[in-house]
Amino acid sequence: MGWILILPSLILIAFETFQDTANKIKYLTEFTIPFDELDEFLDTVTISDTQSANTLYQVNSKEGYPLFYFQQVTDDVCFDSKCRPIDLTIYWNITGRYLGFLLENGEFLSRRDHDEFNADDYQTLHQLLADPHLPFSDLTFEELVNQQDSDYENVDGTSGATSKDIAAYVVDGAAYTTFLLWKNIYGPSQIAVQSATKKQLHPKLIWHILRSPSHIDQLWALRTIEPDEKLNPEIEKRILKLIEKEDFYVSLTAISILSEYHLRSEKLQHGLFSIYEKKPSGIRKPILEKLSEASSISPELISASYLILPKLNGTELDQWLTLYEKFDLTDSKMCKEIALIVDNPNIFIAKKAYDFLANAPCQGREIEKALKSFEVRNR
Amino acid sequence: MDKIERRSILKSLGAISIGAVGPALSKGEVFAKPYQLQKKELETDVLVIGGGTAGVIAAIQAGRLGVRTTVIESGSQLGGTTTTGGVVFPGIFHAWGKQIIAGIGWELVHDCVQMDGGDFPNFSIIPNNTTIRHWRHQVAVNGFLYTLLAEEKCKDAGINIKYYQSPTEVTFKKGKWFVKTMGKGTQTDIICKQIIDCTGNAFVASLAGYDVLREADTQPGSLIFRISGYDYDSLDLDQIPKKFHSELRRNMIISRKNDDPDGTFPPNVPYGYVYVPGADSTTADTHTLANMQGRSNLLKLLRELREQPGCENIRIADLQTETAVRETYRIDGEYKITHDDYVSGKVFQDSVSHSFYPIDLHREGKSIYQEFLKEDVVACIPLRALIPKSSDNFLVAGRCVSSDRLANSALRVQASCMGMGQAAGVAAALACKKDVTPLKLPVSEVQQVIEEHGGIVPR
Repeated sequence: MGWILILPSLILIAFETFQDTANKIKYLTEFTIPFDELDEFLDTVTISDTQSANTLYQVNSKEGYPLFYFQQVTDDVCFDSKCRPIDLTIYWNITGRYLGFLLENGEFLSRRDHDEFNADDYQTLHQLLADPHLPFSDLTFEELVNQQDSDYENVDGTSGATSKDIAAYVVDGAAYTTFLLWKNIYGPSQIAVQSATKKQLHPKLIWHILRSPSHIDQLWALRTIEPDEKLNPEIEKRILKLIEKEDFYVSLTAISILSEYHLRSEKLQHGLFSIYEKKPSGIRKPILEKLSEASSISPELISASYLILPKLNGTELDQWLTLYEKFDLTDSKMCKEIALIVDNPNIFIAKKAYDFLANAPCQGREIEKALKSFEVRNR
Repeated sequence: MDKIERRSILKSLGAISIGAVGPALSKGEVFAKPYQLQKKELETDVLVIGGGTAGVIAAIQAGRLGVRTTVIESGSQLGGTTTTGGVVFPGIFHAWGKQIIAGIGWELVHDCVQMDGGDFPNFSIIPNNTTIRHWRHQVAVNGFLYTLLAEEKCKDAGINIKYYQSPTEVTFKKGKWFVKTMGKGTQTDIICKQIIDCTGNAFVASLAGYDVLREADTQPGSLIFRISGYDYDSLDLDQIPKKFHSELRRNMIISRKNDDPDGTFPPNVPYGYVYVPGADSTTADTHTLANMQGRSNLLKLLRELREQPGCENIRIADLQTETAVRETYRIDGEYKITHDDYVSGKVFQDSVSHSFYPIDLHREGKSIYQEFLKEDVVACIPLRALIPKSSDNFLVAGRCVSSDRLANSALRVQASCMGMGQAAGVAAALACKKDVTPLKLPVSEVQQVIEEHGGIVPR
């Protein structure tokens, strides 16, 4: 893959796209990654060769951030080359998410019998292309059509109806156009986009992407975080916010990418603990499991945990006791707090506390009394 | 040397001659006395009957609330549909970007996926009922590991597990249940305060004299298997009748791990199955019939597949020991969940769990009637649907929940059954502590305890 500067006219196209120029057919979704400090939109543009015959361009900011990508598609759109070629530009954001398409002045897309697309067709196409889950990924067009028990010759192009089974996934009368563009968006070009961004990644760019409201962007950025690199404080803060505020899967993913190296930050450990109390069990458990992966645990966090022990159910209590054991932690305050739990009327909870105390180096009158009381109660 | 051999031979001859008049015993062997059926008595607070999808969760929950809990299971392991039945996708726990069923069922699934080194599907991808279907959020688990973890969690919660036991008589006297069970060589009289029927067939409810119901026509069961000995990519599918294509394709995926974190998950059904019309696991006779019919159907399929080009060496690689059952009897409960309740996401004052799955009625093994829930709709299960009409100290959990047929076709799936199991476990344990029948429990307290144990209560 080589990188060179491209012609000013292409810079202009890309620039104009996001400047809302008239007289062009364009369907674009919002630019999800907030670069609010950037007032200069465009500085340099580079190109790469992908496996696709069409060239992929990267648009950078003056500050050196990749802002978006675009590619001019100049394929034949109808099956067996029976229809006209198209000249269309596809846009991706920097995580490889489809942003939209643009047709130059005079260009248009057509359906069977060369009918020009109307506004609804373009809108439908745009919505379909924005869906990365269309059932096209591992299939050639022939396979897709054959799988649907239909004659592909009749699916698109000059005559015939679109197969009933694939109708929901294509613009009426333009199955091949839809298929071709979708494959272009989610094929090698998308991989090239993601790969190019990865090469330019640095903490501030990751932080920018993590601020995106899109789960796709958030997850993408989280998965680029290296386990053996220190987390920038802003990124650390952002990850904690994602764990606390975002949906289940983003929270779970954000927890999962944290490594033992990252957990050397006591601030991160404290952040996780403060979120623990606010989240439901589905997230609490992974948080505690993650804290268990740390090479050492903050003594302040451990002290703070004593206060929540009486409020936990038996399983959660057991997880904390296991964590204390793992780090070989015992102090008199911990022992006293756990001794109080031995009196819990719920035998399941009381036994967890009893088993811990019986095996821990806890000493003192309260401890002995609690152990004895449990033994008497459960003779 | 000669002498020794001679002596040895004579000794053997002696043994033979003795044997002619009495039994031949080697050194250390003794004859056992004729077996006498062992009669045992057992007193417990909560008796869970059926250690399947719902029963495991109900038992663990009751145990974690500190009441004496016993689970009896007619088979040899816990987990039911997920393990013995082989349906290793115990979903669905998430809907519309949020978790809707959590608690003990999710804990078990989470631990199973994590210990198996598996991945969760991307729950952030919201179903749209067209290109993104509900099954994208199915979580694949290792059924073997699930069996082990379910048993471990039961033991941790202090549950008394009794395998190979089935109830034969159920009587309610003076506020307590008297249950007779038969097992291999044992007969046990169990006295308990609360029963949770998790047989899936409302079998105990029926034994206890409560009304149960079903339609004449029921959904088919499935016998699950895996085949190997062929390369799908090398097959000339044009030469193979279309009816076999899906059977051949299903077995392609052997890994439970998802390479593409945002991709389709599970990418394909990782096993094959044959339908078993009218499969019913209620009694030994009906269950035997369902298993034998499933095996017979599978043999027929195997023979047909081996006739196909490229499939000559197909061999069976794995086979579940039982046919998994979709539909048998349901209780006539204090409340019957209707199709309308389900698809509208009606929230009840006594809601105790969610359910998220399309209406999914397998018809005659040939087609499936599906009706997807509209955006942001999640169905709810009221506590009353787990209580047979006019019953005392009795709950059910699982697919025999009181519901009409269409609602039941969605409620029957595993995550929903787990949610019901947890709710029934809480209700039974609280009813024991307060010495009341579950219907008399303060609903808010049941809901609060479910939440304290990680469950999600519809509000």
